[in-house]
Amino acid sequence: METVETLVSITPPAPPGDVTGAPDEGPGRRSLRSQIARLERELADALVSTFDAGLYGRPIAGLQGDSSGVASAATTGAARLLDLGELELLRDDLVERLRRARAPFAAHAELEAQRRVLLERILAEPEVYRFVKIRLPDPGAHNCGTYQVRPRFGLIGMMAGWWHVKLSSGCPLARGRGVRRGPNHSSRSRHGSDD
Amino acid sequence: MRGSVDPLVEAEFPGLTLTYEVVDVVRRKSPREVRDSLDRLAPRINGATAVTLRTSPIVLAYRTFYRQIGLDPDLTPPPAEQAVLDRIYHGGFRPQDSILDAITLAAIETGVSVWALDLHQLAEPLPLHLGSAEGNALRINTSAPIAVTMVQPTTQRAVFYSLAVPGVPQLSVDEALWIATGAVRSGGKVA
Repeated sequence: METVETLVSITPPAPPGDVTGAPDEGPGRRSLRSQIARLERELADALVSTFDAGLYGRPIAGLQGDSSGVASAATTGAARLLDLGELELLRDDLVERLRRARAPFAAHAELEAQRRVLLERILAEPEVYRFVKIRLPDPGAHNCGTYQVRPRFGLIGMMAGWWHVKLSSGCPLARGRGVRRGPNHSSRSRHGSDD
Repeated sequence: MRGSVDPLVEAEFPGLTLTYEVVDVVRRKSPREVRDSLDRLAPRINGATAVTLRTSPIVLAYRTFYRQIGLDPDLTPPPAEQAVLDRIYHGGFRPQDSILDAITLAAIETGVSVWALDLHQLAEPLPLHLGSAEGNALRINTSAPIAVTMVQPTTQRAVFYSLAVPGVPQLSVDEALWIATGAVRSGGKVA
């Protein structure tokens, strides 16, 4: 009985002026609207990041309109003032969209981490990973070269068990592979100059 | 001119203002100056613009406002975003008519959303008033839903209006309305 009295005593009083006794939804609505604004901004950033990370072209769920979302009821019809429940539904839907929009980035980061672990193993024991080739396309953290386990001195190293890791020359040059030549050269050089 | 906003709506969106201009119009092919302006703006917009557009503060503010009033900006984009998407899809701004081209011009130049209403279709006379009707629907002068352009082929007096939603400076709204009404009013002399 004493516990019940304690619980009753800490119940917040109704706001002043609220003659009906209904709870004041204002702070909750303001909080939800600010959350929606933040989520919308993060969704927009996720779209731009998709292009920056070179993930464009993969289906990025959550960036386009999704009628299967739980908030479809809150985002249909004409413009109106949404009630608290609809704002919550909308917030939850945006959270879900954002999570799905970021999923490819998480998968991409995990793949990169796996590659780095594999690279460390290859560098430690190249003879175990003969002719394995891995590419690190993350230009921010590493170079964009290709690592390959090759035998030293060709056939001799292969027979003697001398293996090492070779790193390719790195990122492709902006001007392409061929040497830029003048317009009077043969068709053999034309391919290299068309960049 | 400044319209009024219902206190209930203003409580939901502090700082929301409604601004409008009334213009005599004839719905016909846009003047050459407007079409030239659209042609001049088209090369400025490319795929990168379309991608990064929704991160620009004004467009983002309208997208957020759309969400908060129950509209999905991915399904019904704000005018500036819609204009950019149309530009990407069609390879240029396709001239429509004097009113719609004026709205497109203002949206592209400023990013601000401008809509137009037929003055004679409003249930109540001016000034414009934004309020909530039955079912919490947001209406202009109790008849026109907001964020929708509603003009007829026979419209003679149009009300161009815009909303300074939270995050959009009033100066940008005034500029957008000035561009839109200027494109219609002066027979297409666009600054």
